[in-house]
Amino acid sequence: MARSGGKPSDRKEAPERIDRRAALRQIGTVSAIAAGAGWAALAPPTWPGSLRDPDGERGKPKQPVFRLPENGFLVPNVPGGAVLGIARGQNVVAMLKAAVDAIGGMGRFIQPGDIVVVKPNVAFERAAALGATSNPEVLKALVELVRDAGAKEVRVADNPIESPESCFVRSGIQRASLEAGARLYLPKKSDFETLHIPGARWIEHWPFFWQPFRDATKVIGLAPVKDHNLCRASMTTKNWYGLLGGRRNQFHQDIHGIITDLALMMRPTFVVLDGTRVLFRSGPTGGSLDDVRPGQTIVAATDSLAADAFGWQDLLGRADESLPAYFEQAARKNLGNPDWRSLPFKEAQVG
Amino acid sequence: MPTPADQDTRIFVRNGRRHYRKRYSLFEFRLGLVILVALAMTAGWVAYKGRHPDPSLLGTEPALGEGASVHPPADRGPLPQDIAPPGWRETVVSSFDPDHLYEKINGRADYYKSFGCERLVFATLVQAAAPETVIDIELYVLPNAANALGTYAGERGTPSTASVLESGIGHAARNALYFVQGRAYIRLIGSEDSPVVHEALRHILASFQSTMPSEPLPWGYDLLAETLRYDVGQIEYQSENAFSFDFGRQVYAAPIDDEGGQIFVVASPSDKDATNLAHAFVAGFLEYGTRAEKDRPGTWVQDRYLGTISTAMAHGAWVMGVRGAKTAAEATPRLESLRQGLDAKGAEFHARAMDENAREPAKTEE
Repeated sequence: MARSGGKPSDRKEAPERIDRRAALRQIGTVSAIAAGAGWAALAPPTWPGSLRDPDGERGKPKQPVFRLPENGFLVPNVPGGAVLGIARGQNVVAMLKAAVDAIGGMGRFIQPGDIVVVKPNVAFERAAALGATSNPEVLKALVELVRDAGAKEVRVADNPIESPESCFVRSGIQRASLEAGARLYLPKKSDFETLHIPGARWIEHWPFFWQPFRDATKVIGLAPVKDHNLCRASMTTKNWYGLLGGRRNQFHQDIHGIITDLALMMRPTFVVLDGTRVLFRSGPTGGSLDDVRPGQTIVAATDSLAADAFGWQDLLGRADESLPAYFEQAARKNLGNPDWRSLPFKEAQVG
Repeated sequence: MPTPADQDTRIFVRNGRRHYRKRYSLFEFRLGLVILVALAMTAGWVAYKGRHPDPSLLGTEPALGEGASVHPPADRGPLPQDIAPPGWRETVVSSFDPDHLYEKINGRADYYKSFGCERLVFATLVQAAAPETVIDIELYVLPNAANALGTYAGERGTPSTASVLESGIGHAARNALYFVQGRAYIRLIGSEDSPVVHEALRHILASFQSTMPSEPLPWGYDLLAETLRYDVGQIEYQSENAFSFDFGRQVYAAPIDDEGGQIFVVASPSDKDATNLAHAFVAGFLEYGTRAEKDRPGTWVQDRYLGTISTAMAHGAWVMGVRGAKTAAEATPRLESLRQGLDAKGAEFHARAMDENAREPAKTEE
């Protein structure tokens, strides 16, 4: 090659030739990449490999979705065993024990090592005597009974309507829980997770007070008997409303629908209907002692609707009125039987 | 003195139990002893505190709960300063506007909002000597006295006693006092039925009466209670959706029997408006019943489910009527006395009624 002189950068070199095979390979590679990118960008979102996100929804961070156990926290039925245990009397401890014994005793439900969540109604900042919240004496007796059965841990939890700290203190539930050796769970924002409830109408995906339910093996509801200005009565099924987070007041537009969803959401080990006091009017908040009468009854049940129906007819004294609509809606979904008299039940008069 | 080689060995010592010195200095011994004692005291303190928790954790002091406050604690609204009686102290004041009312009263919020509730101020008083004894003050601020009275009447239930207070209505329960003062509906709820609570309730009531402006009774109360002598505690005012009719606004009603029968009256702007409104009421009643008592003047409707009798008619620019009466025979004299009462009040009274009605703020659709 003849020297052209000048600077080396000025030299012009002949273009490198590539053979046909290499050219085809490069064209193929570029085409494949372009096609892949085109597919990912343009293919409908449901097609495999598509990254298309026309409304931006796919790009949002995914919230983990939690689910309660498939069959809830139920224990196997005992053939012929009572579904409802009704105890009447004055002594709270004796009444509770008699009611639970009537449905098989605490040993049927709680095994050594269980982690048990007890859900009282602590919705309002009211003294216990006003009947708007669960009776702390009943809660204390219940926690002690559960611990005596060998539970590894008992957790008391609720997400009240009003300030949780004030509600737990004022209602006496905090003192009763701690004295009985339970662990209190007052809700914090970080305690809520999105719960998936298949088949629920309003709360298929809804914030749920999850923290107390981590590793929990059994759940017991403890609800007072209350008049309710919207759903006519608040008892064991409505009690689960206290586990919801978010702007739950919107559900009052279809109060019976949401109570049906609650029955679907929580299948407890058993429920206790605290009829020691009955807020027979001005519920659910109450406030006047003139609206409260002694009920002197505690009911334990493996069927929430049956317990509620008993409360409606016997404790609220509304046997001549039709049951609130949620009974029928929940029964239609096989979530319980409001016809409590058709179920095996035991009734006892104790101290 | 350890040699550099020994130090290396110490760093990579394989036998952790090996002693490098046979004896330790007195200072080291004392230091170890101090640390040991400090650890023992810490353990003892933890054990003691575990058995003697902070009383505030178990107390009834509601000052813990300030999380629901929407407005700053200083925003007391019309709540009087120094409301606490001697021997009591105020702990927490919180305030809830209509958008946050549900945070305090949940499902009852819509009821208060239907009367135009502007604010709920909540305060708790604690008895100094017995902190478990408390009185909650719920003060609902309404647009006017009529709405305050209407709210009260709807919440009242069936108390055993009711008494007219200085400028409104109130009644006492065993542990509580409910009353209207000016344009506020106030609930004082004691935690127990005891003399100390009763005394405090009286003190708080007096405090409200002396500090909050009162308003004259609305025209409906004037007519039904003052002129026609219906029980003042039983008079109802429905700001909207009276009898579940969307046209039923600003309706005053009083009971005429023990089974829900009521006489009612509405002020309309003109005779023509009154006639139209009366027709609307009758048409509404007819949705649930059939015409009855055809021999009597006016259109009477018998409810097909309950069997009760209702009617409505214009009288000048007034609409008056009966809803849910047992019989037309019982209702007719009530209507006649209402007609006479309206006539006796004259045109000025109608002007006053219209003026009061106009002062009610318009409802906004949500």
